[in-house]
Amino acid sequence: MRYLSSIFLILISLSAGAQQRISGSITDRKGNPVAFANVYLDGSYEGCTTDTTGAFTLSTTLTGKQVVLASFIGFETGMMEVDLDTLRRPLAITLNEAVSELNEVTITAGVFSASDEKKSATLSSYDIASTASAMGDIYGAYATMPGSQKVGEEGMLFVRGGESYETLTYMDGMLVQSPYFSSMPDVPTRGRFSPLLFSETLFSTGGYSAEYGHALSSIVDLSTNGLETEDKASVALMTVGANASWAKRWEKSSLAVTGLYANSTLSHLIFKQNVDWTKAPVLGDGMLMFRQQVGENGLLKSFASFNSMSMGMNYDNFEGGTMDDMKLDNLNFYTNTTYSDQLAEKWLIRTGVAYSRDSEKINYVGTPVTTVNTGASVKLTFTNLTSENFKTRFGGDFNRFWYSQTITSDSTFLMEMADKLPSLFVETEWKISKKLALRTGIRAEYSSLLNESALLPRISAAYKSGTYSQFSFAWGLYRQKPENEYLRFAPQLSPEKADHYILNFQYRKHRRTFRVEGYLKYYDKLVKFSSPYSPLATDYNNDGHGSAQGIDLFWRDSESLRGSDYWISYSFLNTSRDYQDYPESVVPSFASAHNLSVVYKRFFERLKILGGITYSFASGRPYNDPNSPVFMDGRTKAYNDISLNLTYLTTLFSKDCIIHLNITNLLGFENVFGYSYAGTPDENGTYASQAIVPTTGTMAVLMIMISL
Amino acid sequence: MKTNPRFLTFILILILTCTLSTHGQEDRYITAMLGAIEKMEQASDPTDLMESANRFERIATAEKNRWMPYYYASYSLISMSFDENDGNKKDQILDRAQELLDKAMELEAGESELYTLQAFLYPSRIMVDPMGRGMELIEKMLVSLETAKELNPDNPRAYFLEGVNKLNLPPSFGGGADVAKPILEEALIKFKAFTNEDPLWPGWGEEATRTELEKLQ
Repeated sequence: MRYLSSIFLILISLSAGAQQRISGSITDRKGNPVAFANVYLDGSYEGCTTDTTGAFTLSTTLTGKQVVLASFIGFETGMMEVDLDTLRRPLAITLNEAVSELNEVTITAGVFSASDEKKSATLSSYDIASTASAMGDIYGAYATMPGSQKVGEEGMLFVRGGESYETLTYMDGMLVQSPYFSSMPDVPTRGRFSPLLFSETLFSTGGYSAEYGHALSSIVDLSTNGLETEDKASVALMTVGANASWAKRWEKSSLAVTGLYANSTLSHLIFKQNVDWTKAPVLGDGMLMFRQQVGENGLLKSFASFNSMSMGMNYDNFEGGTMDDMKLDNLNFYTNTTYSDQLAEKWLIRTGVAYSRDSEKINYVGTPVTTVNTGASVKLTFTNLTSENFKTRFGGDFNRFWYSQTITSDSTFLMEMADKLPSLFVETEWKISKKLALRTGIRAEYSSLLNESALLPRISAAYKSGTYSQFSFAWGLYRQKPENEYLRFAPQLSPEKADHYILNFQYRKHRRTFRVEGYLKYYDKLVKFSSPYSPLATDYNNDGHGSAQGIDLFWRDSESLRGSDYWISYSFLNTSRDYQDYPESVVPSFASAHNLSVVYKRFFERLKILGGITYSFASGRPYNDPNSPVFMDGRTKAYNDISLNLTYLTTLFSKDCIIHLNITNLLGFENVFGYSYAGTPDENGTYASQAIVPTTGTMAVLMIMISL
Repeated sequence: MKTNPRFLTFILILILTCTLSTHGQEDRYITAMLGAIEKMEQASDPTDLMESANRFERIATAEKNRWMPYYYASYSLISMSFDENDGNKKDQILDRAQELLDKAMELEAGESELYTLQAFLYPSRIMVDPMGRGMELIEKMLVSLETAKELNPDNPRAYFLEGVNKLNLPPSFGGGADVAKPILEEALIKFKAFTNEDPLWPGWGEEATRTELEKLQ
């Protein structure tokens, strides 16, 4: 062996010819040595790896002009031309840190994104699905993010002093008209779509891009999954119903179908209800998703969902002093098809169509009120990637809405309206330097019903103040048409207005994130009326106004505690508004000054149990007590909730199986959302009151899911 | 001293090439690759693997149309990533490994070994964030292994990874020693039967399969 080696060495030295040594060192921009960097001559195998001091020495047989390359993970490849015939001194090569998603300057003002792909995301879709207090509801999970208010009797998102209708939902960029299930007074609703349908979701609490319109406060943009990865099928049994899903994957396309039947009867028997149900909520839901890959980069996505829901209760009409029989039937159909592709090297296209129809029939003490909302939209956007640092997006959408409401009592009343809403937008994103990014956009909107148009500028910027920290700023003008319940009587109304100012600081290192965001929001042209439900157009005007300012804090740490992940969010809100039939500007009844959420998740590896616990707190909300001379000076007690979920992964009949238990309000806090008052005073001259409370105290749902 | 047949081939080829001084491009490539593979197999710590990855990358940049340098560079980085404890750095290493693997995939679409390597990469990714990535990536890993087996039912490395995967899964997930053992045994049979004319063909996994099986005895 030794003999062989020596021959080998002699031969090597014989055949090697003249050797030249190149030495030097590799450092980063700050002068720190880069160890284990790859240093080599372009086009040859000759090279070496730097030592821990960043120094290298390489031998070569090459001569003349050559290019020395130096590369290392996380850095851009450095290069230096050398003339090997005259080279005498050591080389010093400096490497620039590569711009990766993690250290790239990105505009974060107002945005909470969730993504399975992007590492810069704050939440993944799995995080959303496994938040205990959310019970698998997207909006419930976003209610644990700073900037949203706890409004338990609604179940919708209330963002930064805004009403629930001020948040709009988009799916793959297309507007979703009725993202929540229909519901009855004081019965909280939830989103129609499962979080597991989406690979990426974006929750913006303000200052959002010019691509989005018609929303005063906030948008939620949900991006559906791409092609299914494989064939699969599963069934699930729940204490509140059953679910089945099936997916098939072909080479370039996939199809997924889901069916859900939910019935609360059993659950109502177990958990005491604060509502006198005449019919427990029953839901039938079907969903279909088709994906087709087109060419190399094109993707066609089709989505359709249909659901039917009904429920009935004796509504405690405390104001009127009666128990009113109330029934609800809701049919909802939503479909969209989107297509995205790369047109040329620097051009991307995204286009889509959507159609929706929502029919809600409420039978209130024998008076049926049927409301049908129909919507259709088309959208087309182009992106031009001018350079790595400059891109322009532009496009437009055209939305059509039809509203009709039929009230049948002694005679039949029919109210109808239709609206055409074209809009155009253009937006540029410019990375001025590695530390500074600027996004400027403008949106033009028109409504045929209101016969008004608006030009809405939006600007946001981000400055990277350190390796892990950055500041962002956003400003924008937003408009939204008044709600249908006012427009149906008063089509002369103008759009409501809001201006957003946001300043954000974010520190993000590895898997820890801290962010603080301060905002100012000015409302104008809010709808006011002299008495609720007045059918007279002259009773309505746009004289309302308001403001909101606050601070949102968020801390998430996914790395300090082994197997654990937690986040804490806190919002402080100072808001007041003069709108609806308010006599003056006061804190509205849905707003609480302090909101806190603590979400904790842990995987117990030995037990194969994934556990999650959520604590939510909201300070008292205002309510108007007619016994008090001061308008809206009542305050409810604080809201508290502790929710828990446990997921156990196992096998059943040699099939993969998931057993999931979700308990909300574990400790049975007696929360109060507000008070309703009798319409007339009693014999002592006082108005009797009754608390508005959750439909149930502690509540649990058990699910067993089996993969087939 | 244990004589490695690959080392002998390496020396023989080296002697031949040197003495004849042909320095033909093909010989030069094979010599360099055999040397690099030899060093990679002797690597004892992450530093050696980093050097090994660098070596393959150098060959890859000079031989842009061959998939194997990319394959081995990626393999070295993945092997190294398992020892990295900083999740952020692990991700950076794996991002690079994935880039190299993607290049290899472009050059040699439909090669079973590349899908096997892809399946080898996912477990390291999962370790960064088991809760967040586990479900999705285990599924992707299984799909890669299925594809690898479809493309070449005799690829022993696909069976080896499947066996190890089952071994790491608890019985309640359909894993465990009882399930893993027959798969690893099958892998060993396939390793013994495996031949490829290309002297550079991947050869990892056999030793590890034996070790795993010994542990199960």
